[in-house]
Amino acid sequence: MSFVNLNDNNLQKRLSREFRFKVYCIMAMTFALGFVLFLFTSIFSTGYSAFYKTMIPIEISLSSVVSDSNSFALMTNEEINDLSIYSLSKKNIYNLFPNITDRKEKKEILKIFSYEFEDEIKNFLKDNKENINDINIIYLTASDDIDQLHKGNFPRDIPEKRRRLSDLQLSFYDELILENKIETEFNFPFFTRGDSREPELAGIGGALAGSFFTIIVVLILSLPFGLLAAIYLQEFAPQNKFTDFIEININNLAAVPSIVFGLLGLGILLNTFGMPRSTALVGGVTLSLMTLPTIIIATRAALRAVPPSIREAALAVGATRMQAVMHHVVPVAMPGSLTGAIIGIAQALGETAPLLLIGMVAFVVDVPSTPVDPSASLPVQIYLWAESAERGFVEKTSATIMMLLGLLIILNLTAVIIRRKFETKW
Amino acid sequence: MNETKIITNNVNVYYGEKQALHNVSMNMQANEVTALIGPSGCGKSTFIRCLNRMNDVIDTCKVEGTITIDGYDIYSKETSVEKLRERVGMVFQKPNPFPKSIYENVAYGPKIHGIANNKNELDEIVENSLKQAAIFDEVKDRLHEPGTALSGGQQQRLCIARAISVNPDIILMDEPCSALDPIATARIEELMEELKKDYTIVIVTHSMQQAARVSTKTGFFHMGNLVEVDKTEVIFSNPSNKKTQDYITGRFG
Amino acid sequence: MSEHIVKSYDEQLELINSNLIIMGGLVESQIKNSIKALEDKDTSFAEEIISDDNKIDELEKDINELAYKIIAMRQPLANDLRTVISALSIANDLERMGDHATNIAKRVADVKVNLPDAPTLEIVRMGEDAQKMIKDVLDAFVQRSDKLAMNAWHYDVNIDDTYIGIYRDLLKIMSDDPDSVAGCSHLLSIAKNIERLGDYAQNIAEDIHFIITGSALEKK
Repeated sequence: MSFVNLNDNNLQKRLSREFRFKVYCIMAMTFALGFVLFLFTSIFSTGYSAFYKTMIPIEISLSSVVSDSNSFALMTNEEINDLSIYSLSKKNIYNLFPNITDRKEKKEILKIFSYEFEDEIKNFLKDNKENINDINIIYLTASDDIDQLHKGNFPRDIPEKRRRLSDLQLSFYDELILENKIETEFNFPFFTRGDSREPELAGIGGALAGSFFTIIVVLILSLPFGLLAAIYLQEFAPQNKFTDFIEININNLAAVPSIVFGLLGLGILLNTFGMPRSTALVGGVTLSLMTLPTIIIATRAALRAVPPSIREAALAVGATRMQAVMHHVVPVAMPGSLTGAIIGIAQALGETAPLLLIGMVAFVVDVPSTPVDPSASLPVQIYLWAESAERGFVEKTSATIMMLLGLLIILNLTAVIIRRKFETKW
Repeated sequence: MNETKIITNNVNVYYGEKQALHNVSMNMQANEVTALIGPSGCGKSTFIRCLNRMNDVIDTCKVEGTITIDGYDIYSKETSVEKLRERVGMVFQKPNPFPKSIYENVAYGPKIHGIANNKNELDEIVENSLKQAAIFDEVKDRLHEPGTALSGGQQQRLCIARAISVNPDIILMDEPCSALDPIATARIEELMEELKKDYTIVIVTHSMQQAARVSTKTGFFHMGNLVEVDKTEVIFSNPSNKKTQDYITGRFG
Repeated sequence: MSEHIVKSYDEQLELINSNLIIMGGLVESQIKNSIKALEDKDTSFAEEIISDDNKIDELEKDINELAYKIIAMRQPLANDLRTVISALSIANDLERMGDHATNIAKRVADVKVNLPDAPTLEIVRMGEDAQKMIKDVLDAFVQRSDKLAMNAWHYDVNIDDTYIGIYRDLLKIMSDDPDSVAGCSHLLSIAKNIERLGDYAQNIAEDIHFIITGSALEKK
C-alpha cells in the first residue's frame, strides 16, 4: 500500500472538488460581508454629519430691553419668556452685515438663521442669568440650508433658480467664513428634542423616549407571561392533543407577519377598548403580542436543553415538581431564555409596521414623558424622515438608523454576555 | 436472612399500550444488596423506578399489583411521593449533581424536607453524608466549589451523599457505575459494602461481575419477566433457568 | 448447547475440550500398552511406553495454560466456569494416570525375575477392568453424560475389591514361597498402580458430574 499516490485520479478529483467548495464558501462570505460593509459605510457616511450642527455667533446688546443687564439675575424664567425681544434680536442680527440696508435683503439675512432664533436668545438668557453683559456673544443655530451648505451637501455651481440658497445668501456665507464666524459644535439637542418641521431643529429625543416606553411596556407584559407560559407548557402541561394544538399555534404566531399584529392592535386595543391612539402603551401591548411567542419558544428550547437528569435528581430526593423546576431547571435555563427574550425585544425595538397602524406615525413635537403620551419610536421616526424632502432630514435619517443599530448591537451583545457569563458549565 | 424490606407482588407496568413488566413478584431484604441484571430493555430499570415511584413522571405509565415497603403499600392513595422518595433514595446511571456547589448539592434534600433546624445542624448533616459516601476527605477544602467540577467517580459519590443526606431506608442505584472507570467503580462497590450496614440497597447493573461482587441476591429479568431470583452465588455458578445461564455465560441470542 | 456471542470464546472452550479428549485417548492407550507389556512380559515394549509419557505431560501443560487464559480473558461463569475449572482438575488427574501407567511399564521393564503366572493373569484382568472404566469415563466426558459417569464411578468398587483379593493372594504366595517375594512385590506395586488408576477415573467421573449438574457429588 502506498500513501503517496499523486497519480490517483479519483483522489485528485475529490481534493479539487473540496478546494472548489471552499472557494465558493469564501466567495459567499465575502459577498455577504461586502453588503454589510456597504450598508454600514453608506449609512455612516451620510449620517455622521447629523451629530454636529452649524452655529453663527452674533453680538447682542440688551440695553434697549432692560436698563441694567444685572437685573436678569432677578428674573424668573417665565418673566424672561414674556420679554419681547424679537425686534431687538432682528436688529442685532442685521448688524452682522451693516452694509445691507434694503428690507428685502435684510430678510435674506434672517433666513440664514433658524427661525427660532428668538427662543435661542431667551434660552441663553435663562441659562446665563448671572453673567449677562451689555453686549453678549450668542451662538445661533444656522438655518438648515446654511448648515447643509457648510457640511458640503449643497452644490454651489448650479443656477440660482435650482438652488435653495440665493446668490445673496451665498455671499453672506462667504463673508462669514472670511470673518471666521461659522462654527460647528456637537449637536446635543439632536438627542433631546422632539420632531420638528425644520431639520436643523429636529431631534430624536421623542423617538428615543417613545421607544423606551414601548420597550418597558413590552418587557412588563411579555417577559412574565412568556416565562410562565413556557414553564407551564414545557414542565407541567400534559402531553395531549390540546397542548399540541397550543404549541402549534404558538409556533404559528411567531411566523405571523407583524403588520397583522398592527391590525389587531388597531381593531381591538384602539377601536374596541378605546385606548389612546399613537401612544407607547398601545405600541407596547401590540409588540408584546409579537414578542410573546418568541420568548415562549426560546424559553421552551432553553428548558428542553436542561438535561432531564437534573429534574430526576431533584425529584429523587423528594422535591415536588415545582421545587424541581424552580430550584434547578429554571436557573439553568435562565440565560438561554433571557437571550431569547432580549432578541425578541430587539425585534420589537426595530419593528415599524404594527406601529404605523396604531398611529404612532403621527408628527409629535413634544417629547413624551409617560407611556400614554402620543409619541413616535425610532424606526417610525426613520420612516417619517425618510419621506421628508429637506436635505437636512437625509443625514438625520441615517443618524437615527445608526442610533437604532447601535441599540440593537448593545442588546445583542448583552444577550451574548449573559449567555457567556451565566451559562451552566457541565 | 434479614427481615424482608420490600415486597412486590404481581407487578405489571404498562407504558401506554405496551406492557413493560409482567407479574413481577420479588422480595428484597433489609441490609442486603439486591442486584437486578438482564439485557437492555428487559424491564429492570422500570422495576427499580417503581420502588420510589419515579415512573409517576411519565404520563402514560401505569403500575398494577402491589409494592410494599415495611408492609406499607407505596401505591396507596395516602402515600405522598415526596415522603416516599425521602425514604427511598436513588442514584442514577449518569452522575447528575446539581450545577451548584458541593455543599448545596448535599444540603438541598435536608433543606426542602426541613430536616435541619439551623445552619450548624445542616453543616453536620452535609459533613456526615459526605463522610458516609467516602468523599469527604477529597472535597472538604472545596465544599463551595461546583459539584460538576469533580471527576465522574467523585460526582457519583457526591450523588450518593445527596441520596443519603435525607436519611433514607433504601437506596436504589440504577447502573451507578456504567459511566465510571474501573477504579472509580471499585470505590463505589467498596462503598456499597459499607452502606449496606445501614441501608437496603437495590442495584441495577449491566456488569454481571459487579452483581456477583456486591450483591447477596440477584434477580434476572428478561422481556419484562423476572426469570429467576436466587442467592447471587447460585445465579452465577449454577442458575436453574436455561435463559439465566445463557445470559450470564454470554450466549444470549 | 447454544453458542456464545463471542465465537473465539467458543473456539477456546472447544480447544480445551478436544485437548482433554486427545489426552484421555493417550492415557487410555498408555494404560493399554503397559498392561499388554505386563501380559507379554515384554521389557523393550515397556521402555517405549515410558518415553511416551512426555506427550501427556505436554498436553497437560497446554490445557492448564489455556484454562488460565480463558479465566483471565473471559471471566467464565456458571457451566463455562465449571467446565474450565474441571478441565484443570481432569487434566491433572489424567496426567497422574499417565504417570501410573508409566510406573507399571517401569516395573515391567525392571523385572529381572520370573513373575508368578496366576497373579499376573489376575492383575492383567484387573487392568482390563480399569481400562473399561476409564473408557466409560472418557465417553461420559465426550457425551457429557451424567449417567455414564455415574456408572463408571460406581464401578470403582469392583476394582478396589479385586485389588484386595490380589493383595491377599500375593501375601499368601510370598509367605508360602520366600523366593517369590521379589517378583510378587513388583506385582503388588503394579496392582496398586492399577487401583490408583481406578481412583483417578472416579475423580474424573465426579468432575463430569459437577460440570453437568453444577453440584459436587456427595460421597457416600
